[in-house]
Amino acid sequence: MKKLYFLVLFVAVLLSCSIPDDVGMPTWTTNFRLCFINDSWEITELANDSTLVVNDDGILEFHETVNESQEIEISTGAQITEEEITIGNVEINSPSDKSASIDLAELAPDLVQVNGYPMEIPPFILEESIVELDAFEEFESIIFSSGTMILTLTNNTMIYLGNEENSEPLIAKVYNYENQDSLATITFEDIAPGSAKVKEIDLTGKIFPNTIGINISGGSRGTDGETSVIDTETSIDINVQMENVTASQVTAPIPAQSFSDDVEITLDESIIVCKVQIAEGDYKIQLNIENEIDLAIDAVVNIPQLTLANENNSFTTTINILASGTTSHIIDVAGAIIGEGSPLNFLNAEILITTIDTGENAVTINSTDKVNVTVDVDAFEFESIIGIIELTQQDDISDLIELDINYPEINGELEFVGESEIIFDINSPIPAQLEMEIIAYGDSMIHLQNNDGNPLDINIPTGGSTIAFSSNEYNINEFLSCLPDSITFNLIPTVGDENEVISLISGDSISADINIIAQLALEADCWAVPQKNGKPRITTTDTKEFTQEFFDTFQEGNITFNYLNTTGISLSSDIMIAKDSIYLDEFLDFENPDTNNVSIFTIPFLDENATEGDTVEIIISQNDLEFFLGDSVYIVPKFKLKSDGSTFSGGISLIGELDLKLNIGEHLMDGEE
Amino acid sequence: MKKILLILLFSSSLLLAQNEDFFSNPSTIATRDNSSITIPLISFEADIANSLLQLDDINIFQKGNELSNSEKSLLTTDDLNINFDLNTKILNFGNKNWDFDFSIHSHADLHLLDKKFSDLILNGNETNYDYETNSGDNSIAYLFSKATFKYAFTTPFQFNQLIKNEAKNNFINYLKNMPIYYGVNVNLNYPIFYGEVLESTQNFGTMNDSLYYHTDLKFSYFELEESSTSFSVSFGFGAMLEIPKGWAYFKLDDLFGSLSFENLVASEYQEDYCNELMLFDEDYEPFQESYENDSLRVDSKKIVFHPSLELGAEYEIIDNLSLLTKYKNVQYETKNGISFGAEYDSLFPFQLICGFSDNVYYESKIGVKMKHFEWSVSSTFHHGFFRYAKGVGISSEMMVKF
Repeated sequence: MKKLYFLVLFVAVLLSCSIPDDVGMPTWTTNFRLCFINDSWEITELANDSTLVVNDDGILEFHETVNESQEIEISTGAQITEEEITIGNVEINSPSDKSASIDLAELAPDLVQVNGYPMEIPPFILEESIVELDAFEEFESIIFSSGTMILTLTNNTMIYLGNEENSEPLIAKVYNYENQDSLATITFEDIAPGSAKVKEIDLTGKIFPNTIGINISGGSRGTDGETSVIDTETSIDINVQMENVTASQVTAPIPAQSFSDDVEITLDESIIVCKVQIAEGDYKIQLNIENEIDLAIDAVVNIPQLTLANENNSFTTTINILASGTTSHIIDVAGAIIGEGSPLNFLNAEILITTIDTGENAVTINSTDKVNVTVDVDAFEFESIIGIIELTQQDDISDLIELDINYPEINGELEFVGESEIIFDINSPIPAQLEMEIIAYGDSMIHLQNNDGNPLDINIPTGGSTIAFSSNEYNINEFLSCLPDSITFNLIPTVGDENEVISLISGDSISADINIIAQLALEADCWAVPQKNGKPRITTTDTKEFTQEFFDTFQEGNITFNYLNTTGISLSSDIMIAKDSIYLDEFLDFENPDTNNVSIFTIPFLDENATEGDTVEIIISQNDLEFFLGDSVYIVPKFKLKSDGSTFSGGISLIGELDLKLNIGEHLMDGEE
Repeated sequence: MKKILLILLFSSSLLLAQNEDFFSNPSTIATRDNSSITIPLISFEADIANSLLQLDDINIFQKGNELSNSEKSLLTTDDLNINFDLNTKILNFGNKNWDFDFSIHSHADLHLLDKKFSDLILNGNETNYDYETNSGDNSIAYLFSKATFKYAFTTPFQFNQLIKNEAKNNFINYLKNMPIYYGVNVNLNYPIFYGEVLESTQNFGTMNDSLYYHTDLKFSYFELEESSTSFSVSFGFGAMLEIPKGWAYFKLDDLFGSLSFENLVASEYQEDYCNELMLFDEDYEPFQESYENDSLRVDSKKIVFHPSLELGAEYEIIDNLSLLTKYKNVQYETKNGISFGAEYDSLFPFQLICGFSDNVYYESKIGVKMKHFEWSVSSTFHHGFFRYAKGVGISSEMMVKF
């Protein structure tokens, strides 16, 4: 039994396990499969920027829309109108009639009166007789500008007055009684006994004192063969009347009298107003009235085409002005309406002046005495305007559009060749002309112009209109091929039409939507390095964790790319890695980068025809990871573009699967070698 | 009816064998006529087993050893779980039909590695596959002391005390006269430590559009300065039947037993990483976030023991050589299930046991058995023999009788 017991123990020892010499972590090889890229880039993502959009056909377009507008400002300049209003012929109080008599005995002193015995008196010469009329109270002196003096001689004698047959007519002379100057000489026909003759004397230009005399002379036919009882106490009655008298100069009490004139207030010659409403603000018309007449006057000013704000009737006002005085009157025309629809070349002001009755006071008035009217019209802006506006240049519309596009650094040829156009959607309430200067600033400065090099001028009709510039006629593709960072617009509008009545209200403006649309069709054979803020887009990656142990862990690996390229452009990409920033310039060496300083992973040609998907595989060696042993690496991609003018659409889909064979072991543990 | 009851009791008693050492069954001290004391620290029982690796597989972990495909295959066959038990007797003293025992029990059930996790580490990953593992999930470990006072009734019970009439059948009469020793015990359980992984998940994937991993770990444990425990009392009883050339016995223990922990410290840790694969967006940055919160508390945790059951029988087939059988189910021990064995009783007793539980285990025990001194040591191999075993156990018990 004991033998059996020890046999069992012996077998147990034989079957017992062995113990490792050096217990520790084994090593093994494992696969690490990582889908490290699964991304798609659609042009719609690039189109997130407002400058690049995708059209309905899915093609990427450069699309910049600029909205510009300029309020139309129609204004008039300040104007001054001066007008003289003369008083003209002066009306005076109508002079009263004046009468006087000359006895026959004075005219024929030789005639002997035979009481009750008729006798024949032969022709004879009348004794010159003078009679003084009572002074006129209506004036002191006067220069008649109009009027008639009516001289009536009534023959109350028995003889004929005047003998025309003997060329001895009856002559009445009107003279200045004070200085004997003759004022008028009137020849009468013979006046038979018991009859009267009337003669009218035109007073125009006559200068009369207020006291005049009548001198009677001439022949007499006697009793003309008849017999008559001679009465020497009979007389000749003289009567003087003045009718319709006005004076060019007079010293006299002046009754109230009116005179008027129209003042044509000129507006800006560039505007023919039909109907305007002046804007609210400090706008005024100032009437300055200087009264040079020695009479106080009332001036009634009526401007039928002017209706002040909040008024229903045309403008009327009365201005009182002292004799030889001056008055200013300000008309606040803010919000006022001028015109009623008919074209106005000027604003007519009707001025009616009425002198104040002087009563018994005599003043000296000359018909040339005047009232000076000066009208100062401010520069106006309008709330609304209906009228004819001559061509008026407006303020420039200037703008600078920054294009937020990070263009890649291009090495090679790249040119826009697609169909491009610039569309102007313009809306103007009045006819206008637009002179444009559009400049793109990129690699160079390009003016937009037509193929003939002519500047960009367009006529704009009233209302909305669309004008399109095509790349067939304009250098739009050249304009964009400079890869502009900014575009400046300078639009100079000129509004108005000499033949068309236009209508504007305040705030009306010329607006222009300028759409630059260019299909991104490229002729390219170039390298492009994506940029950010003007510098190559470099990603700095901290690789401190990538130690020599990890480097040693790597055994072999490959990258499999499954891709779709529907961009229409063949692409390939180099992803360059440098271990130090001092080698960054190698990124831009597109021909022979120094591979001692940079490592390049090449993503092979992504065929533009691979719209159904394709696969490429890259073998990775351990040497490719050598640069990761530093503290950091600098990674920058660049892309090779090759296109013969295809439009840019679709996108790129790229799935990259990394399949690494790694050696795992204790060397990966912290603190272990 | 009484006959049937007696037959059932007898049949059951056949399974109750006296292969329990050192009086773990209170009924076994009924006939003891001396005193005994167990030597502390030398008396212990330890078992550790894993679900994956055989002892011989330890050579895999030779430093610098490059894993072969078969070794990788082995390491990824199953989850790696570890069960561990340690029962250390601090004090055991008894005199005749009473006995006092103070032991410390520890039990750990650890789920270390999910086989998916092992496969991912060793064989690599496939793309576009969501790896989800639960390594560590539901791992639990606890430690408690158990003070047991046993008392056995010295006068055996016989059925003829109930059934006075003589049966015609001799076998029935034998059963009626068969002595049944019995005893009871009371236990005072004092929890010492507890730790549990409440939740543990790991997610990893290299998908077509992203690379990600996610870790979520929640665990709670006993913190001496903050946590507290409380006593619990459990009861047990056992019986031992003397059968021809053998014994049958049973024991039911840990009735109403439990371990109560209060205000356990809990921690939570989460980490997420996600890198969406966007080459063309240079401003994109991977998402990485970790969350740690060690201020959580678990108000109470109570482990309720299910009743520990032992049924066994011992039958001497030839002189000094007995066959053994036992069924055992103790919550905080490893070697449960049904077992069969043989014992050679001599100055150097020798015992071989084969048990079937969650795994197959083989136990061999040798010892020294003298009048005033007994010492036994045993070794256990789980899942297989020697180098092919996935776990080992060792026990030692030394007792002085006087």
